[in-house]
Amino acid sequence: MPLTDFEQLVLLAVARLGPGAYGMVVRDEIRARTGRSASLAAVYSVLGKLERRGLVASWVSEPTSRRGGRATKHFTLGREGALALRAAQSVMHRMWDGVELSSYLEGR
Amino acid sequence: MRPPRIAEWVLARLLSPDTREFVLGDLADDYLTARERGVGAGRAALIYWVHVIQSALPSIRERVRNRRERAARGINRTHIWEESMQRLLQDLRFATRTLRRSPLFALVTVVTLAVGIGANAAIFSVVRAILLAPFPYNDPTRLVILANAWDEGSTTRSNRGHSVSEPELLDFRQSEALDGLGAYNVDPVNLTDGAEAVRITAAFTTAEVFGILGVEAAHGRTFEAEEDAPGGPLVALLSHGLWQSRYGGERSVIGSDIEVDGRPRTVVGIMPPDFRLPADYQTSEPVQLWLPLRLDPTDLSGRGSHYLEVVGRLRDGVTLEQANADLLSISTALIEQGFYSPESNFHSYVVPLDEEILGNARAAVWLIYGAVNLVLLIACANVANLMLARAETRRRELAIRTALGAGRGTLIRQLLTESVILSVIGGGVGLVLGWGVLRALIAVDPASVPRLAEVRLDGWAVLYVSTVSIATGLIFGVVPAIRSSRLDMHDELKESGRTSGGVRHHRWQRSLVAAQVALAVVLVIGATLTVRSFGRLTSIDPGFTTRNIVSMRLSVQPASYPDAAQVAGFYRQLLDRVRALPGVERAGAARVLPLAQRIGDWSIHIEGREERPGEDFDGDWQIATPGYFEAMGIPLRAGRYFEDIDRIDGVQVAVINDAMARLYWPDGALGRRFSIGQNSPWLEIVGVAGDVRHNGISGNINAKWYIPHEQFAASIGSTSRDMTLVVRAIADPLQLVGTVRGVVREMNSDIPISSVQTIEQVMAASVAQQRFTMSLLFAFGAIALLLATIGVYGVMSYTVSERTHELGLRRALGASAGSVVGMVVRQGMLVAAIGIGVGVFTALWVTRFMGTVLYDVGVRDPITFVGVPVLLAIVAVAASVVPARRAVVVEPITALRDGGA
Repeated sequence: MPLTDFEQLVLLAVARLGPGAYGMVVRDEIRARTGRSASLAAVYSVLGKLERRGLVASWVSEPTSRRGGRATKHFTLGREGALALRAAQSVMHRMWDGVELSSYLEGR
Repeated sequence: MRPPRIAEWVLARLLSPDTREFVLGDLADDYLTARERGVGAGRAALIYWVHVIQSALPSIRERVRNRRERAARGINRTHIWEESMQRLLQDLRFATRTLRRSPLFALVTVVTLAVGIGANAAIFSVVRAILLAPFPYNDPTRLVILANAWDEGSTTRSNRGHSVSEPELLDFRQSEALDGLGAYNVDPVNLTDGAEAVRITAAFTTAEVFGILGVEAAHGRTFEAEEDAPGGPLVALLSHGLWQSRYGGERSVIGSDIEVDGRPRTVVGIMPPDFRLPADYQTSEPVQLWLPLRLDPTDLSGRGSHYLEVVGRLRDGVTLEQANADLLSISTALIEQGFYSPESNFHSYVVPLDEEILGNARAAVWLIYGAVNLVLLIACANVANLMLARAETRRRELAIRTALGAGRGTLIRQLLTESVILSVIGGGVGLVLGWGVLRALIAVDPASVPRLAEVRLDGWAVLYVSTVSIATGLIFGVVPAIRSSRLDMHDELKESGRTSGGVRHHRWQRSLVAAQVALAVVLVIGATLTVRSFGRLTSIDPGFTTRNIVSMRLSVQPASYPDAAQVAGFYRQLLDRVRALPGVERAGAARVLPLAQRIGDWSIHIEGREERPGEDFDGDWQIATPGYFEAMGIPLRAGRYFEDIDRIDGVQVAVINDAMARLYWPDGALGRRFSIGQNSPWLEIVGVAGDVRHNGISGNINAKWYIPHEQFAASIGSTSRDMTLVVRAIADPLQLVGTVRGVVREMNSDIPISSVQTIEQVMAASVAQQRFTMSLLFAFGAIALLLATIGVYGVMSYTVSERTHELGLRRALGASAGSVVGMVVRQGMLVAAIGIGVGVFTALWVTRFMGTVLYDVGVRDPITFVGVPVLLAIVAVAASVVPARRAVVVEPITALRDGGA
């Protein structure tokens, strides 16, 4: 099953942030780079799905008082995730290959 | 520094359990970071709320998706309830939408049901409060009332009275079957303490009464034995109402003195608000003051003076039959001792308290309840028919829904939801209606039926209405729903909009209409019987005239008028002054007013006749002033009435009634003499008056003697201080009340006036219970007739509209308009005839239970049993002719074209 647009963004954010990324920083990374404002619940929902598909791995840290006594769930990109991103990237590359947009953009 | 709690709480509810902790944790961290960076609390909270809203939407979407997936897998049992609720909500929404599209249908249904359910709710409350609620005494089922009976054929009058004499009370206290007997006598007294004298109802009771009823004083205590003995301290018990109204609810009144009939009495207690003596349930003027009766157990002279009401309690384990067997053996012993003649068959017996208080009202209320349920059934039949007709017009819609995959169960469920919605709305409106009906019933005459004033539309009524509404919805909805769901989709869709003819659905509709007509016949026959009975009752000649007469009770105090001559003087002067008032035609006074106050009997001696053993000459005793007979319009049969010459020092005279003349002096009574005590003077009969109904409009007429007020003291030694003034006016008698009051006040401001009522009001009150029954049954009969008419009309209209095509074809082929109308009417009549037949047979059986509420009308009264079916037949013809005529005014060609389109 190919990745959806938003799944790709979440996976790329996790890859960019490296091991230890969690929901809020993933969300902020996406917003900072794309301007797209996703909800935290949606980010976690996608992360959950990606985890079930084996594309990311996760671990839970100890609860802290700063978080109101709650734990943090950290994510890291798995090998399968990296393969999926590469596949998505090559699909894009293949599609981009030879596309010349300038003639459409000029004169219009 | 913590994020807004409400926002956290909201978000926690929205998030799925597997992400809740992390999302909330991230947000808490983010909030803290923002605050640490110097962001204000308000702004940080706003940011948090934006997160909450952003997160809420996807999580809701996800929840719904998950639930659907789980439901599709069909594995989660915990959601079955939730799902059925959702389905119910869906059905409700669908039904409401559908009903909103046919507002007229919904309105007619709701109104019909509201009438049926509303009347039902009101009468249910009546049944509950009057028949089902226990009387407010301890273990009321073991309470009994003692009564006496004499047989017909004895020389004394035939009697079946509930009054007992003092010696009889002492005799029957010996009964082993009874755990005590208490007695009381209700009599008005004057409260003369304070600024204004008032006349109130009081009861002279033995000390045992309260213990037997199992009721204690709310404050203070009830009577003690020595207070109930001759010469004991003078004490009194106040009702809650009197305590509040006259003594301001002050506890300090206990132990203080009040003045009753000019004598001081110490208040020893205040009774609870709901306490009433058994006798109070049959009057609109309940007792407000209790005084000890103070019987003298050594005085056994008054065996013939029946004036006490006696209440007792069955000993534990003793049945009513055993108690009556015991009382019979005591009665037999008394006869053997020579106190009563063997022919009199004198005996005492007990009746259960509730039977005594409710009497005929019990049968009447059950009858009314039965009737109101018939009305509800007719309403149900009507609505069921409406639903059936509507379902026919919806066949295509239902077929399409079936084609789109709705199962039969779904269709039935949805149709039933519609009917239950209608019946619940009908029930709600009906509850309001019932409340109004009840208020009206109580307002018209709270004393017409015992305990009617206590009836309330309470939580039980609401529960009852809810149950009845839902049951009603299912009853009238289930047949149309099952029928409509059983359709052939293919045929329905193929018929392309034409309403389907055929006989299948007509069978149901006609059966319902026939049932409706049958029920209506039963109700209308019942109603007609009570109306006829009431007519008979009110056409009884009471023996006096009723127009333009007003009566009022007066009581003269010993303090102001110590001796008999002064009392006589007061009444003579009062009557002279009243007669002189403009607008007054006649005026007089009597001891007890017919049909308003009970009259008792008094033994007499007849000159020249010896009583045989056990024989007892007696007659109801009445004291009257000159002018009383004329004011009341009592006809004179022979001799003369009382005149001003009948003074205390003149010849002692009496007037007797027709019945007494026939009983004791069949060959002429004028000039004959009798006396009312061993050493009292002979009274010469100077006149014979017409018979007057006294203790009830339909009871026996007893022998009765009248003695002039001024002469009564010569026979007895005391006078009658309590008299009822009777004033006949030229026009409206109530306009005279003010001036008569003025005259009394001028003569003595301490004399209170009470029980002001016209004789027409007295007459009306004497048949109040019968009027109550009659009015309600009449109303229900009328509703039933109306609903049945609508039913016949509805089904015939519908049949005609369906057969437009066929009828047009018949006309086109040469049938005359008359023959087509005849054909339709015949069809309507067939349905009605079946209903009428079934109804008449049912009524023959049902009216057997009406015997006790009917007067002088047989339960199989031929006029009623012929008249009502004829009436129903006429109504049915009329209801069929209208739609039949509509069918033939359409041109045959139009009918063929429209009907076949």
